[in-house]
Amino acid sequence: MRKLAAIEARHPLVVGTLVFYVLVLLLNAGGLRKQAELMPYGTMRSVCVATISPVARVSDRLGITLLRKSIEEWVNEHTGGLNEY
Amino acid sequence: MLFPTTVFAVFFAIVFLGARALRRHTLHWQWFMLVASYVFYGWWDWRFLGLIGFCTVVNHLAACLMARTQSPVYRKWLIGGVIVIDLGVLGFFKYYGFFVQSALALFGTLGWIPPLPLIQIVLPVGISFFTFQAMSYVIDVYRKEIPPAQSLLAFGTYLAFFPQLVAGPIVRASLFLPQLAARPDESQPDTGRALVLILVGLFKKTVLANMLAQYVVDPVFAFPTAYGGGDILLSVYGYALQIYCDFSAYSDIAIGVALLLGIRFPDNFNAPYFATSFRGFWRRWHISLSTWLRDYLYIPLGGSRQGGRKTARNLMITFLLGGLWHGAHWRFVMWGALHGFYLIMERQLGRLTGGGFPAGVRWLRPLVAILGGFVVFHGVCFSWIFFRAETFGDGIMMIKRLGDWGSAFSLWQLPLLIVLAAGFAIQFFDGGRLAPLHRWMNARPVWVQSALASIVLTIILGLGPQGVAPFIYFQF
Repeated sequence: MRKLAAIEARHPLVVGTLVFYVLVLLLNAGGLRKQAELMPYGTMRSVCVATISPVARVSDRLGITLLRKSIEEWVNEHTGGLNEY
Repeated sequence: MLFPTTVFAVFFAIVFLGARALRRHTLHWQWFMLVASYVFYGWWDWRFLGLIGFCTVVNHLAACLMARTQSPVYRKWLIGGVIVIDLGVLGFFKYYGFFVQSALALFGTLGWIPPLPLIQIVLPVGISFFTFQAMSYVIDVYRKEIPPAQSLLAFGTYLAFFPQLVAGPIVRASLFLPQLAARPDESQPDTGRALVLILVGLFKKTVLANMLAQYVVDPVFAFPTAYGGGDILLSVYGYALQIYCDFSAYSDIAIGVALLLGIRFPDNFNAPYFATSFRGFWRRWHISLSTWLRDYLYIPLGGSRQGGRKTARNLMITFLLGGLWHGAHWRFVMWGALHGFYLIMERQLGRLTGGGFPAGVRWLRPLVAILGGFVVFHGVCFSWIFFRAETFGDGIMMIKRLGDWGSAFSLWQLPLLIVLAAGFAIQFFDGGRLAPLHRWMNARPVWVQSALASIVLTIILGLGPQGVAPFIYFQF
């Protein structure tokens, strides 16, 4: 823990960047997997799906994707009228 | 490469960490930023990298030659030549088809079709922005307001700097180059302000602008005959707010991204729909373009120093060209003409009333301000009809249909009205009004700021519709 604090003190921006990207990845893994699956078939799609799937599984198991899922459900519920267009 | 995409997120992580690692090596930092900017631009179409490279070399060469010579005649030739080249590049890529088609239509009415070649030209993204930046640089050097850039590399970095390359703000060399010269930069970036700007920008774009486009604006402007006056009115309000949310979002994100890289940009928007006069509107809307037009077109034409008629002429020329800057279409010319007309009328009214309030009726001032705000907002909305309509005829037809209040009000639903109200209210965040939040963020450790930003970003992504439409100003 002390080591981590020392690294944070020496390189706050690097640690901040890592925290940001790891959290964004975990919080949005479900959405990113969906996005990857919607890509046209090809190497790029295969790489993206293969990269994001394990992250999405971990995030699902930890329940981290709940935040985004519940927001999306709330939006769908409250914009039922809009989605008819 | 669009800002709110995974590709950009990966790209920026590399650039941010790379730029941070090279911050003590000015030359390496500039090379790194130049290459990153060219990758960013080339991601869209690498063939146009040659064009931006050409503009860089020509403008910097002219600036250096101007700085070296004392002969006014030679300097005039140089500035004239380089402006012709810049306008030629812009004119060829952006206006060739427009002028050829207009000429063919004009001569066609006279029964003669001139042999003008009609060729399809791809419009390079951001050409209007980088040519205007290049012109401001050479003009400032010509006027001896700034020295030429320290090197071609420094100027290339300025012209291609990726946060503002494709849709502004139009950053002056006088603001950017001293920041490059001041490197190496040992200070920590203002992460609090940068993250707030980026998140507000993402909210404006991915939630508000996308929702307004998808549910309020696009359906009506695509088939205006299917809607009555009430819905058309709502969609015009919707477009006014959509274009504000869309464009100011790009500016916010660009300012935030540049700030993380250690470069400060000026604000580009300041609650434009809160303006109580048209003059005030243009001091708050696309500030970098309006000040560019003021400094390099309106004032050289004579500004307001030569009497009423010439001022009116100068205003109209400035706004007609400002309209044409947005795109090669008569709809944009009409939009510019309307704003020129508004400003001329406002000046006339100001002259008639003396511009002030008599002592006895000062209590009327707030009421006049509210009325002014109402008139300005609706005048601006009216001009947006031509800006957004598919054709000039569609714009006229929509205006005619505004009087039809007998049809159903299919768009007047509570969720949509809430989105519209949010689009209007978010202007409160412009102009440094979020400074206390920036300070609060900066008082937290960077990793806490990052964790908060990642949660807010997730909420924004959850609220927004699926997919991200390109920014409106990409086409200009």
